[in-house]
Amino acid sequence: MATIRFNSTVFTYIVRTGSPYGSPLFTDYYNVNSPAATTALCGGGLFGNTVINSLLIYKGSIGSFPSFTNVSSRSSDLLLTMPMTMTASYLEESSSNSKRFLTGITASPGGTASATGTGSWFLLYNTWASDLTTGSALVGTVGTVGSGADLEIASTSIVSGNLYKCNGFYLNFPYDMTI
Amino acid sequence: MALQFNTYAKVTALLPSLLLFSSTTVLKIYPSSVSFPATATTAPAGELITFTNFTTTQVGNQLKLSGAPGTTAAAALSGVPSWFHFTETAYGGIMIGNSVGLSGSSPVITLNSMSLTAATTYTLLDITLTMV
Repeated sequence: MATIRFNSTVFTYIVRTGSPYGSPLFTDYYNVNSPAATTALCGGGLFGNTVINSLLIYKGSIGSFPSFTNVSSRSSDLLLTMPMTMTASYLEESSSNSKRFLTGITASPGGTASATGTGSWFLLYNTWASDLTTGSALVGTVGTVGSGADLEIASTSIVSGNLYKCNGFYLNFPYDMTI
Repeated sequence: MALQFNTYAKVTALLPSLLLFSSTTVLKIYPSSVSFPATATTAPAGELITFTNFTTTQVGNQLKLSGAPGTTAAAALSGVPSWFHFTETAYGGIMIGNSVGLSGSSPVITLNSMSLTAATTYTLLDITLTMV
């Protein structure tokens, strides 16, 4: 296995600004009209006035890429949909070897659960795209605080009709890649 | 399970940003006697060879050397290549890696020889960085 190591400048381009050749994966820019709106997993949509990302909580086994290609394929396991806010996301240095990005902040008032169940995984995806092959998406596990899950919440018991809101979570980007 | 991005995010957002390492790139190859840096910082002294006249492009989920192989340079020192250091001069990007080898071994940096002799000319055969 090879180790590839980048400096922080590269990750600033990848995660926040995009390079002259690519679009950012995340951004704290209010308007992501350019680069392409389908790339970013937070920030504003075209002309800065459209929420283009949602955070979804599911029960059951986690969806796995690349076979997980369409959100509707797991609609029977969907518990909660929370549209994300367009702003208040940011990139910061977390150590000398990584950057972290605050994302997942849901828009007020939050999302109302559509079903009752135990949340076990989440999908953060770009709703500007038609499916999970034409827009950016991210999946991770859900668990209670201290469980070591990618997204830790106070209780994984989601109740239909209840209102939920996420104040955001950090995604950590270490500068090392193993290929 | 680690967080997982879908293919679109990796190919459309992550990989194109690495095209920073394109026409304004300096590629230096080092022997193992020069320590692989703990962080990607300015290139240290002691490089075996330096390539400058090449470009990279994206092919699917790979960052590749553009065009036919043929970028050549004369080795500054004699030795066995161990790791590489890219400096992207326009924006300040730096990428280092410990994958240098010959064709057939699937390295990131492919050279035509892994035993360099000072003042002898060698060829950069390929660059392949795969985003899986």
